[in-house]
Amino acid sequence: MNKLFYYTSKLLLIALILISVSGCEKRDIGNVEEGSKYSAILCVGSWPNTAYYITSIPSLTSGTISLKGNGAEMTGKVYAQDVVQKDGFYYHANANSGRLGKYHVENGSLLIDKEIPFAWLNWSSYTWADNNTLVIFGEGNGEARYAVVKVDKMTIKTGTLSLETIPSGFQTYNIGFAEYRANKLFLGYGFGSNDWAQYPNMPVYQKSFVAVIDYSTMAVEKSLVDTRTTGLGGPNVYAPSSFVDENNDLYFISDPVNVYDYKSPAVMYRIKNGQTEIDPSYFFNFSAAANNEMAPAMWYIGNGKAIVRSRIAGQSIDTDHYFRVIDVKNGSLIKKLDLPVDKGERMVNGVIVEDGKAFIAVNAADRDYIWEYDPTTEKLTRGVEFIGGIDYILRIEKLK
Amino acid sequence: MLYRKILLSILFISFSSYAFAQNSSISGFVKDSTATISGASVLLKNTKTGITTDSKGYFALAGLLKGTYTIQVTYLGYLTESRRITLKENEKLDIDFLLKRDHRLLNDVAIDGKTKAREAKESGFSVNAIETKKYANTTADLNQILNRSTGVRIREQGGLGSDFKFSINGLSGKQVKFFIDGIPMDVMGSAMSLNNIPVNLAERLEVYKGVVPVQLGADAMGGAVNVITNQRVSNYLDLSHSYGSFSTNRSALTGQYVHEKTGIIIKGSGFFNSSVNNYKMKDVDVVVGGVRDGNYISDVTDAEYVKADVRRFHDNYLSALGQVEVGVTKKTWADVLFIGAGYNEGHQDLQTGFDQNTVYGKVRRTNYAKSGTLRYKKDNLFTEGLSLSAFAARSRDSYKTTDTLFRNYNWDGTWYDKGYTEMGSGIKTIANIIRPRTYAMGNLSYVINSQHSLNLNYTLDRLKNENFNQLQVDRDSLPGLMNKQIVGFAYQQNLLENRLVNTLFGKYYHLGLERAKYINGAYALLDTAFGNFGYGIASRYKLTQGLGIKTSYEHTYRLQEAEEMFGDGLNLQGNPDLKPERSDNINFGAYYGFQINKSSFFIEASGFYRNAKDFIFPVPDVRSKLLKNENQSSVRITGFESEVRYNYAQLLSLTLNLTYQNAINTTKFGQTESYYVEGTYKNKIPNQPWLFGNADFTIGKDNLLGKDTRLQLNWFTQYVNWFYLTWESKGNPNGKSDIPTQFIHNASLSYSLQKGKYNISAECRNLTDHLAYDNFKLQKPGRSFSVKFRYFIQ
Repeated sequence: MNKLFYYTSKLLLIALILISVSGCEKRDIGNVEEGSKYSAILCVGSWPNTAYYITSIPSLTSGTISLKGNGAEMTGKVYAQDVVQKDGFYYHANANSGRLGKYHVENGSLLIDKEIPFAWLNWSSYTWADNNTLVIFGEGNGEARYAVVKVDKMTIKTGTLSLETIPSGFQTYNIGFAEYRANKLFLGYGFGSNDWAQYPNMPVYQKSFVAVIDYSTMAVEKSLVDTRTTGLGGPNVYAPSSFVDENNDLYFISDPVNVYDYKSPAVMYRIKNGQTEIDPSYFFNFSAAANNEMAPAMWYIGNGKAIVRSRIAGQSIDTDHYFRVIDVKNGSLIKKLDLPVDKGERMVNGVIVEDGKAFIAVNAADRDYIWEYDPTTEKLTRGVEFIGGIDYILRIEKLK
Repeated sequence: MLYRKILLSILFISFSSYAFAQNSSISGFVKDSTATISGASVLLKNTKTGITTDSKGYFALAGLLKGTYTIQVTYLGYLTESRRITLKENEKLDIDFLLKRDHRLLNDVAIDGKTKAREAKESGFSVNAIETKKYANTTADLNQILNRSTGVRIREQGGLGSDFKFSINGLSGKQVKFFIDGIPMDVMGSAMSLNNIPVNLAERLEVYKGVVPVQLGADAMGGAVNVITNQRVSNYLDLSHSYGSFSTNRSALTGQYVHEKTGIIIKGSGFFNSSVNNYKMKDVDVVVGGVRDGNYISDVTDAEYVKADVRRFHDNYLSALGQVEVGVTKKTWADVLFIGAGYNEGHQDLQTGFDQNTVYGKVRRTNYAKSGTLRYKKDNLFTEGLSLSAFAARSRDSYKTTDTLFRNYNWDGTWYDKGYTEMGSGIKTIANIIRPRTYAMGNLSYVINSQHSLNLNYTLDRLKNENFNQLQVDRDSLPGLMNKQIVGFAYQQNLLENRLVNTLFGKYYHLGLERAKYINGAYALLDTAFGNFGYGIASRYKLTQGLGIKTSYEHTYRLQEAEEMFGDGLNLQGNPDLKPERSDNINFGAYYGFQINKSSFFIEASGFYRNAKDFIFPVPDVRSKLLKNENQSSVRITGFESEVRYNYAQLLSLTLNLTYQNAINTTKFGQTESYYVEGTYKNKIPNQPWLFGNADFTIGKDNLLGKDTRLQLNWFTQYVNWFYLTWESKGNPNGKSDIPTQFIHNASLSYSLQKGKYNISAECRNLTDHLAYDNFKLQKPGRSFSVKFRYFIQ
């Protein structure tokens, strides 16, 4: 019996030690993040343990950023890269749980300011009508729908847009760019199929549309039609592909491959200030000028110039990207920026504009930097570096 | 030189003593009604002469003097058998023993010494062998029993019937395969599942960890669970019903009738499970405000979320299964020949999606399956030592998920309009999966002599996979086809008087996949076929009768499925570049058992290593809203597990076990090229328990409340240490989510009358009403009560 008790007590002791060791294992005490002017949404880890973090960027031009002990965890709260940021607040519509939320980062933690019941639409695009009014667009129940959100109190108004009806052989609206200009909303759209048995050779509807919407009534005044390209901007909740310049001229660019159109070129259009028609005198065939590349995203950097994140020719959207500077007014290519090839994610909000300079995040095969591009001197300078082995820079944001 | 001399003289002396002085012997077999018993002790009373039977139940005591002896044969769980014999000079006595089961021990937790479980444990494989007898009076399903054993972690989404993820030493999902009597469980249909099968249908459970014998012919990379039903050739009937919290009803029936004269046997088994699963969800979002019409919130403009405790309202579950087998045994042309038929169905309401913020109110799943089976076994076919067993099945499983409402439900049962269906589809969907399947297995074993044996196993698995939305089309015109063949060959040697057992094996996996597809409007056939070799070894060495060490290794695969490679045309994109998952698995362990008077003691400890590569995961594609399977990550798992058992006769027993597993991400390069090695390389895999254990205490007394009765109390505590939801080293600790440490206590009290013929038990699970969840914020049931009645005759 003695021998027995000896063994039993010894084993119990081992078990106890193991349990207590694990219980005592300290969770590190974190460093509190200070208020910052910029942030980045980073992705790390392979599926299914892909995690997203919002980290502040103390400086765009120097230093390093790592996720080690740093960054507000998004998993469990906003597990997404389609977040809209304004003044340091993040907005996200979650189609699964049917809620729209407003969030901010404090002390390294992503906090919920408010979540409201919202399942009216599956958001694709948004635009700000004013600093407190977010207008979002998306498809819901086979209809094109909108919601107008007053973000201070997170109150909402919803409705349906009378866009062109979906033709036979197609089942969905592809909602593209959205811009607000002088009490009018401009919304790019097209039609898509959900017959995935045909993937990747999906049916293509060879027409694209821009809806002109009266903001006060949300009535669709007309839909402008063009047949020279498709895919008028991807969902801009990921990255923008349109802008309104200093002259109040509206520009937008297309990405046909994103809607499985492997034939049409990426084209840039203009709707001039005060007009509600596509400028017939303006047509910039971006693909023709840039090695048949596509244009998934575009940012206006001032003085008539914009940066296009271009994707190499082909059917895949998960491939190499470059950054190209274009002359907006003349509709011409200025140059391809001498940056490392961007191996990043397909939809990256990768450019911040400040003081006439562009700051460009590049997921390189080499090191990952934010590069400063000065359009006046055409100089590229390496800035802050993302270290420690992140997978993707998904967004960089200017907070204030 | 000296050594050699001594050895020679010892040999000479022993030889001469055998030859000239002690030249009588006794040999024979020890059996029970169904099989031979290995490890039984054969003792000549009042002498020091004794031996244990070998793996074939054979014993031989040589070099005996003439005289009269009493031979005593003992084995745990059986009645001791004694026989008095007289040995003449030079006599070679052949004598067999038939042991009878000790039915007094029927409800005794102390039973561990049943032939097969012990045999499994003492094989070279790393295996949990669990006799289910001691749980027979509880309401447990097989998952709940397996979840108490070392290395096994089952993560459930909710209450009765909910989806679960079964992990063995850190590998889970499709890497773990389930069998019932050596046949893949899913051949029988969806309701034949570990979260469904009541304990009374199984006699024994075996969990093979990482290294799987060839007899279970499957690409079970992480391990396999084999449920073994009652194989005895006698009449019995086991009938039970339980009722408990959340309107949970569970009935089970299993029985067998043997017609002695003709040898015809009829076996039947079935179960029925149902539950409303309306357990309380704590601190979840409910909606206040808005314009309402009953439960419909027609305008959510002013609606807001507040926190509340509410009951689940859409989680009904029902499953039923019935199976009948008719056959003959002990014919000259067949030891066993059975034909069988089975049917099962399940109906399930889905309450939540990926997390508990995603609430469903009308989504339903149903499944129906039918199967026909043929089972054949013949020992000593053509020649002595050659055995053939074969199995064939044809089955059809259909599975339907209904998601047709454009509604968003809330925890209080209210709903508002949603722009897409509850599960997020743009169109109303009644998704059908229909899987006609042909499965055949043949196993040929040949015992060359007592030292060497061979085993050849072949399985053929042909599966057609039809996926379609019945609101769009009425069938899948382009189904996927899978044709899987696995050949396994094993060679086993029993050396050093059975102290050393080595099993060497090789497996060849052949996979053929095809799926037709429209490409540019033309009909094209996509197909692929490839083969992979796997191999391994399992060894055990017995240092003493009770102490053994064992080690095993396997290079193994988990093959792709047709949908994973070619898509299903509905929710999955194809990925023709997909490779099979592969892993190198190593186990090393030891066991030690001994008995002091009425106390018996057993300890097992083992370490494990898994180096798994190219895990296949469905990755969501934002653009198409489909999933695409990709070889995404690699993992290295090292771990340690240990179990200690103590029994004091039939009075009390205590089992403690603990498992530690350190799963490290070995994906060196992430989703994109980078100068830096992936930041999560060599980090601990998140969202996975890494330390957990169980304590199981039983005390019971016979004849306390009358003759032939037994009163028994069982206390069972489960411990899971906290773990991070995401990467440990990443992110500011202030905002990190984790799943907290959980201690869940359960207790049951049972009372048996007439030697276990009538049994009644009362049970309470999660006694302290602890907030329990296996997955992030998916709450499991709180405290629940149940009673169970069981009638058992044999």
